[in-house]
Amino acid sequence: MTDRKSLEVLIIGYGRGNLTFIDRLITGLLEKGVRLTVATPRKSDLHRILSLKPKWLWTPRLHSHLWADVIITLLLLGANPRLRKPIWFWKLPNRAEGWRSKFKAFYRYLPFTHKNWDVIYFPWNSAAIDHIGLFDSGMPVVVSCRGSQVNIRPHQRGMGVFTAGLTVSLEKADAVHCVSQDILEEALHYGMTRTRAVVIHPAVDPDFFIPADLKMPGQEVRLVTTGSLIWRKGYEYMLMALSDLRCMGIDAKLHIIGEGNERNRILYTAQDLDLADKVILHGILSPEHVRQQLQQADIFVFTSLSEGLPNAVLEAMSCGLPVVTTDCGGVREAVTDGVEGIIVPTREPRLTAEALQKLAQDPELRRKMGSAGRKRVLKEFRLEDHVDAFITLFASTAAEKLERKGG
Amino acid sequence: MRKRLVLITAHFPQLSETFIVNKFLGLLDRGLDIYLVCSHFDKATWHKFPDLANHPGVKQRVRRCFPTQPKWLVPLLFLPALLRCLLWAPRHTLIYLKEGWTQFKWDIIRRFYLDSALIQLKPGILHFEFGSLAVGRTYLKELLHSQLTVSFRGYDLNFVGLDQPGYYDQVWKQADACHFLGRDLWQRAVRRGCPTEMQHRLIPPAIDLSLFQPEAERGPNSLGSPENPLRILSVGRLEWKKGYEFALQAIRMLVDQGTSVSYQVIGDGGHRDALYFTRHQLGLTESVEFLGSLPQHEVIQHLGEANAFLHPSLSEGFCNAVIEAQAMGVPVVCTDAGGLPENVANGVTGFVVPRRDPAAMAEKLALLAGDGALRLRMGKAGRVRVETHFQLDQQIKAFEAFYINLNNERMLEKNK
Repeated sequence: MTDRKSLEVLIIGYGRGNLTFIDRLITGLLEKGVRLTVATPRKSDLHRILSLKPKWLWTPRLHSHLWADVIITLLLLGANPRLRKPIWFWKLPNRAEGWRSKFKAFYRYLPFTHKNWDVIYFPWNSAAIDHIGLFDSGMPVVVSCRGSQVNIRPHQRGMGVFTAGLTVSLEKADAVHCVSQDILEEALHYGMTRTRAVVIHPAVDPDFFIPADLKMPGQEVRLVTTGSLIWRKGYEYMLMALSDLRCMGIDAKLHIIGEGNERNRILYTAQDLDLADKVILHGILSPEHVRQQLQQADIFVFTSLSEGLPNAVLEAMSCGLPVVTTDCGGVREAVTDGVEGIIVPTREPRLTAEALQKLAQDPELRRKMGSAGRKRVLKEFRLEDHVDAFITLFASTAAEKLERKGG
Repeated sequence: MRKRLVLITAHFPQLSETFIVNKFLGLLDRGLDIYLVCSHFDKATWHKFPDLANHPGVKQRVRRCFPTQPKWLVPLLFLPALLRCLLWAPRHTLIYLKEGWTQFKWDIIRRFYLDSALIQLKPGILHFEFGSLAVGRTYLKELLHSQLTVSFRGYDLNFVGLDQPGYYDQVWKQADACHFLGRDLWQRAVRRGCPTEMQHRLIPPAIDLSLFQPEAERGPNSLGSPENPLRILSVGRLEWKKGYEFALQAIRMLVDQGTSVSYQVIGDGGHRDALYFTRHQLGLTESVEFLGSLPQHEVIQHLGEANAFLHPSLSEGFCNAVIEAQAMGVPVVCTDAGGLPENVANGVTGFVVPRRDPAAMAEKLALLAGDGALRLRMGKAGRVRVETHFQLDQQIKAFEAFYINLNNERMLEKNK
């Protein structure tokens, strides 16, 4: 078996968006002594984790200009003119049709030829689909299924190519990591087999997201939610629930943390439902401020339409908040209805409002559910366990591949 | 002498903004000295409008602003822009630069480049086709010594700049007159700070009735069985403000109640991903079809075949699609967003239900499915309503009067 300390992992697809959970995972892995290489087009993409000194591998930018690519290739070959590349690499351009795609295959996989990694890890399905050639390289490959790319994208128009790529990548991957059981079931439709799938739930740092010391009971109920302002998060239904809640005679303020292209929609809906002074948009906040907002709130509310397993809910539970969430994706794997919070069906603002009412009127229930949530996070969603699970996954995948090769 | 009228819009021509094309051509045919300036000109769509492509002399009257993308074009084109302005409108250019200098200093050079297409036209009346276009450009009135009018068509008042108090203050101060599509928009404008003494006219949108001729006789039979499903149609861009998510929920309810439905949506837009997902999540892949955007004659054909028109909008100005459906004799189920209650006569030409209420939509659709005579009656009433209220030539006349009144009142003020 490969020694844990010397495990060499290549991560491709980092830097798509500003996502703390990938950072947390990378930080954890680096701290445990895994030798990470992160492949991005620009070194500045790594600025958030640069202090931990991961290795950086230059990769070409996808969708750049063809002639720029040709010049860069010539420069690269000029700098290192040895053409002794592995066989799998030469096969890729041979298989491609037309000189353009031959060149593209050559160019795209050139940076990955100078070394053999123990494991290649794709944190996103889309990254795996972009680098489908690496699945034939003989290096073990691990792919993550995180949510929308398995849940939503295949059902949209003109996604035939994407779905085909998804199927190929999930068929060929040596191990598939799913963020929840729900995602696993979904991924089974796309050529994945159960034996290669591993569920590793996302995790939070319970020492960072801590409950407030003392909660001042305010006059009005303070609701909080975190998530990008995009259609998938179903904010319209949240605002409708808030409107229903006011009809039930409960005064509540909603704090929304996040940014996105549907800001206008939320502003309009709040205005339209006469809630303009009840909804506060905070934009993107630093983790410290997110924690502060969570600590000040009474209830965490979440009305997403589709999720893998929402980190937002875990963070709120870690801060000791009772959660009211829709039954989306793997939520049921983190929250048991009636214990850590209340689960309602999607697109049912009325039921969300009733759940909120129940919690708003009962501080004792809020406290009970909050502490149950904190307990559950401490037991099941610790960051350390999460990182260990990943290291085990990487190590076992690498070992299995080695065995198969030997045999 | 009549003043030169310049319409300002962002994209021209656009299928979803046919009303601007109609207004432009209608006023041109009535002999107004009218120009149109757009920031993006779409050549491909131009040929989809036979009226535009075949109209003599219309090409010179549609002008494009000088481009700002790619950026390196700007310094290259600056000199031609300046020369053209000096050649065609030397006095206006000098006044613009001189007065602009006192107001903006060096920034006037940037503004001059953006406005040069307007300056060389020497406009008498500047008309912004959307309220949001006028924001930040009201200074043009002073620099060009022209009059300023603004159309408010829905989204500009409904949700643009809601988080910025006083977003339209400059517009209210500078505009000589405003045009609103309906009473609802006027009230919204007042709520957003428009002085009530502002000179304004309510001119609803209109359609060319000769294009919309219902052909086939509709039967009064009851629909909703598997062999005879209720055919529901929606026409509108796939945007969140059209509220299709709630329509899909209503369809789900109808299907659950045992009514067979075939729902078609014509249009395309940024909210498409969400709607495809919603259709999948609600398990409606069989009964709901997204047709994408279609040319007008195909839309008319689909309207001819539909049994009911559903318009689940959350925010609306007045809505041309609903007028078109009524013209084709299709009973309408729509929400009470914006000007829709003024558009549809509730209980006569269709039903108006609360916004974001799929249950109410489903109830009215089921009612229409079961009652063929009601569908026929509402369809006929819709046609009559359009004939009396939303005719194109009435609208063009109203616009003409809008601009003439503007001149007259100005004259009166001056004489005083």
